[in-house]
Amino acid sequence: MKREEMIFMGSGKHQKHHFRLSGLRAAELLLIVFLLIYMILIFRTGNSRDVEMSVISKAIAGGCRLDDLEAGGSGDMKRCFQINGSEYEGYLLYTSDDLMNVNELLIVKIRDVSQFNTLEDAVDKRLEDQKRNFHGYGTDQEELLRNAIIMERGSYFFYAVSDQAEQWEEVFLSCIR
Amino acid sequence: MVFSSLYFLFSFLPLVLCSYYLMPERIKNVILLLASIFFYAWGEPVYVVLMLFSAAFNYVVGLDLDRTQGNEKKILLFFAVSVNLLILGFFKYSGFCIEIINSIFGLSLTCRELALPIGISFYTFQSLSYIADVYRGKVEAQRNLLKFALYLTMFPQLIAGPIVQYSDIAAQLDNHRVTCTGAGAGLDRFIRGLSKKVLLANNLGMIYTGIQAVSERSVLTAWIGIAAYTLQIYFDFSGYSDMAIGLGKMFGFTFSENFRYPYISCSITEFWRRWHISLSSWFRDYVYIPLGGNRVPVWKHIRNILIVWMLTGLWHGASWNFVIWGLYYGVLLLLEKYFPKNFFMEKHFTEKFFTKGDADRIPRWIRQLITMFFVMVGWVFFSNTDLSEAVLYLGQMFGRGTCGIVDAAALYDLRSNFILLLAGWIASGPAPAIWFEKLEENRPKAASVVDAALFLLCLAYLVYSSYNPFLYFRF
Repeated sequence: MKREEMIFMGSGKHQKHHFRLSGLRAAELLLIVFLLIYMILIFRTGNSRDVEMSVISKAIAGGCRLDDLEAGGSGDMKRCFQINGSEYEGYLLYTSDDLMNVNELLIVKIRDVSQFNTLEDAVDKRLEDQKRNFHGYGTDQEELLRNAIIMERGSYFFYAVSDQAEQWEEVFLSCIR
Repeated sequence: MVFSSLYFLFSFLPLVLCSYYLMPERIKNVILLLASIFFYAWGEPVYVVLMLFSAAFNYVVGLDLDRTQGNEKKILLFFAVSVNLLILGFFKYSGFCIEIINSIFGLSLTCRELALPIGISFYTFQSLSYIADVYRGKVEAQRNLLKFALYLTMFPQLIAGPIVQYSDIAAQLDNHRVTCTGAGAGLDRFIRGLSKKVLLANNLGMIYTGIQAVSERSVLTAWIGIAAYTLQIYFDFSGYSDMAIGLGKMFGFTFSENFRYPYISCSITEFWRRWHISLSSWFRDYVYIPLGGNRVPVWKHIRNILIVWMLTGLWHGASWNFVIWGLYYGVLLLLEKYFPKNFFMEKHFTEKFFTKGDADRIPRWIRQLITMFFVMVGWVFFSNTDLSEAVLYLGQMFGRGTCGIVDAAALYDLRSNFILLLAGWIASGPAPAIWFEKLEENRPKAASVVDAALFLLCLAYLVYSSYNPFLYFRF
C-alpha cells in the first residue's frame, strides 16, 4: 500500500471515529433535553391526568362499596373538616350520619398547590378528633383511623377511612393515571 | 402488577413463559424485554417512559465512556452519575430537600408531591454500577441496546431487586439457556418465595398492624409487635428475592443470592453480610471502597462508614427515620470494629458470668440474641416514618407506656399468635431449607407434593385476601 493511501485511510478512520463520538454526544444532548421536558411536564401535572370531578365521582359511585355512606355537601365539609368547599376546584365527600361509623372518603381537586397544606391540616385535625372520640372503647374505629389513607397526586387530595380504603384508592388512581 | 397476584400467576407469567420457551433463541431476549416493559407499564403507564429513558441514556453514555480517555472520560463519568442522581433526587428526594431547606432557612416553600416511580432506586443503582464498571474498564460497554435495556428492565428483579451488577450478568445476556432442571429449580424457588410472602409475611403483617393501631401498649405487646414486624419484613423481602431468583432461573438467568438467613447472625457485621446482600455490596463497591474503605486513617474510616450508612438509610426512604436507622447501624458497626476487642474475652469477665464451656468466648446463642435485640430496635425506626411515633414505640418497649409490662391485650396477642410467631422464627433459619433439600434429594416426588400443597395454600390465601403489595416497592 502506498504511503498516501495509508494516510488517507488513517484520516478516514479518524474522521469516522470523530463522527461517531459526535453522534453519541448529540444523542446524549437530545436525551437530556427530553429528560428536562419530561420532568417539567411531570412536575406541572404531578403525574396525573386532569380529570373532572364528575368523572371521578361516577367512577367512585360505580366502582366502590359505599353502602353505609352518603354523599356530603358544603355543610358536611364545614362540619367535618372546617373547610369551605367552594374555595376548591371541586370535591367529593362521603360520610356517615351514624356517630359510631368513622368511614369517610374525601377527594378534593385543588386550585393552588398551597391548598394542600390547608387540607392536610384539616384532615389531621379530623383524625385526631375522631381518635380522641373513640379512644378507650372503639378499638375497631381506632384501628381504621390509624390506617387512614392520605395522599396527594397531581392536583388531587385523597383521604379515606375504611376497611375498603385501599380499593377506593385504586379506583381513584385508575381515573387519573 | 405484583408477583403474588392471581393476574400475574395465571395470565401474565404463563403467557410470557410459553412465548419465551416456544420462540427461537434469537427472539427470546426481545420477548423478555417486551414482557418487562409491559409488566412495568401495567402499574406505571407514565413512568415507564422514565425507565426507558434511563436505559437509552446509560446505554449511550456507556458507549461514549468506552471511547474516551483521560480528563474527558472523568468529566463524562461525572456527567452520567449526575444525571442518574438527578433523576433519583427529583422523583424521590425533592420533597425531603424542600422540607430541610424550609427548616434551616425558616421558609415556607411548597412542592407538589410526586408519586414515586416504582423501582427507581433499584434500576438507577443498576445504571450507576454499569457506568462505573465501564469507566473502570471492568466491563466493556454493551453495544446492543436491546440487551442493555433487558439488563435494566428485566421484570423479575426490576421492581424490588436484587440489584444486579452488570458484570454479574453481562455474559448471560449473550448466552442464557433454559434447561428443564433449571426451570424446575426456578419454579421451586418461586413457590417458596410466594409462600414466604403470602403465608407468612402477610399474616405477620396483620399482627403488627393491629398492635400499631393501638396507641397504648404494654412492654410485651410492643415486643410482640416488633417481633412480628421483624419477621414480616424478612419474609416479605426475602420472599420477593426468592421469587425474582426463581423467575430468573425459569428464563435461564442466574442472579446472586440476596439473603442468607440474616437472623442467625452473631454480630451486626455478620447481619449485613446476610441481609440485602446486593445493596450492601453495591455501597461497598461504589461508595465505601472509592472513599478509601478501611485503608485510611481512623478518622477517615469512621467518616466513610457514617457516609455509607447515612446513604444506605436515605436509599430506603426520603425521611429522617431512615437516616437515623442507617446511622444507627453505622454507629453499631463502628462500635463492633473499634470497641476494645478483648473486653468480652477477658477471662475475669467471662469466668465471673460463665462457669462452664469455653471461657474465652461468649456462647453463640447469646451473641445471636444480642444481635437480634439491636436489629429489632432498629426496625422500630424503619417501620415508623413519624419519628415521634418511633420514639413512643421504643419507649413502650422499655416500660415507658401506661400499660405495664404485661396486660390482658398482650396475653391475648401472645396466645393468638404464638404458633405463627414460632413458625416464623423457625422458618427464618436454615432448618426448613436444609430439610427440603434433603427431601428433594431422597424423595423428589414428595418434594413436588409439598411444593404443590404450598402453592395451593397460597392460592387460597390470595383468593381470600385483598391487595397485598411488597414493602420494598416503596423504594
